[in-house]
Amino acid sequence: MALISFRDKMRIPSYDNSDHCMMAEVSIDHDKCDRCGLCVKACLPKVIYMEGKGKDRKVLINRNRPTGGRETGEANCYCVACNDCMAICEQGAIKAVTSADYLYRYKQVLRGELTPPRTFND
Amino acid sequence: MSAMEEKELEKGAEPSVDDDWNPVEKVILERRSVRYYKPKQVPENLVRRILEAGRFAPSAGNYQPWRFIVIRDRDIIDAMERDIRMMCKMLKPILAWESSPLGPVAKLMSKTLTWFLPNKLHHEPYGAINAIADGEVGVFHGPPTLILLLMDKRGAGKPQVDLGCCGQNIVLTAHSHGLGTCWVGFVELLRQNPIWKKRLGIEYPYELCEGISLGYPVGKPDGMIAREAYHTRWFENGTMKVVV
Ligand SMILES: Cc1cc2nc3c(=O)[nH]c(=O)nc-3n(C[C@H](O)[C@H](O)[C@H](O)COP(=O)(O)O)c2cc1C
Ligand code: SF4
Ligand code: SF4
Repeated sequence: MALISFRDKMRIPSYDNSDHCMMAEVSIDHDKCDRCGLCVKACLPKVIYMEGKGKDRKVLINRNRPTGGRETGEANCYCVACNDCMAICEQGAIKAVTSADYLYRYKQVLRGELTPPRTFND
Repeated sequence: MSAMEEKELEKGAEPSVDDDWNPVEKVILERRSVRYYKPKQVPENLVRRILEAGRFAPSAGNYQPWRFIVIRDRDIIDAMERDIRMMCKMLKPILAWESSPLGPVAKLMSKTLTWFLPNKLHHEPYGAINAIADGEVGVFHGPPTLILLLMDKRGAGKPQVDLGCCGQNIVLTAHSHGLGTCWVGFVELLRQNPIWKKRLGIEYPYELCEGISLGYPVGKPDGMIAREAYHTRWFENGTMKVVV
């Protein structure tokens, strides 16, 4: 198994620093999206949000750094690639494509690619 | 990342087309946390039936270190949510040090707390506590029914693990009946609260451990998705291989 060095073990990452932790990536296909807003409700960290009202509304991804961010001062948490947004979207317009990445003390070891369930039947 | 690797990733994120799952696997693989509920109440007999699944979970030494509390009164759930939010508001000035009026003192406190509570202040709860304080993120997500899991502190071995088995039985059974659930770890913020302990009748040896929101979902949140595929070490016939 991969190990975390002593230095990494001792160091607490700064949660608002994108060199220390990066949130997962979600992609939205705006051509497929019918702007029902269900993904906004499903996303716990409120990474996806709806901008505008009525006909002009659009679902967007909030890429701000998490809580207390130097850049924003806003409270935000991470996209964790839970894919709840993908599961609820009936238009197939949305999915998480990469996982969140943490460094130092929370470094993810041997993290694999996002893969759907498999039966290994063949 | 090379173009080919990128393509692989895209492919990996497609939902499964395999429909060769048995009913249990299907419920397990399709269960997603639900954070948007219809107001319609869940019938009492169904809730009780779902709790039965929890009662028959495995536990170390068959000690069954769990008890349940069911809350179906909107005002109690709202009051719990309000008090959890208040706790988050009290924690925010020492956690979100970048925007805290306490300045460097907050930074020191935040780093120290994260050091000593690495799990409780892992990125996601850390961010969520601050976002709950700001009213951006909900706690229970408005369920008609809330199940609280209490843990017997004297449980054999690792009672938290037993509670996990028990809760997951409850959750999976609920989803098999077309209901939606969401685990709510933040009920923990009321664990030591004497007012809530009295109001809910929680006494030694029990302590508030987890919450499970339960109700009929809006839309169809359940479905198969992609997740990280981890390496597994496989020992067989005197050799070792790594499978992904
Ligand atoms: C012990 C535990 C506590 C959790 N606490 C919360 C919570 O407080 N709020 C919430 O919205 N989700 C909570 N979750 C749900 C997780 O966010 C969710 O399981 C995870 O993102 C994976 O998504 P999925 O359940 O849809 O597969 C909790 C899950 C577990 C197992
Ligand atoms: S759930 Fe899908 S269709 Fe609805 S707003 Fe989100 S991306 Fe668009
Ligand atoms: S993958 Fe999860 S955290 Fe990320 S945007 Fe979708 S619902 Fe939100």
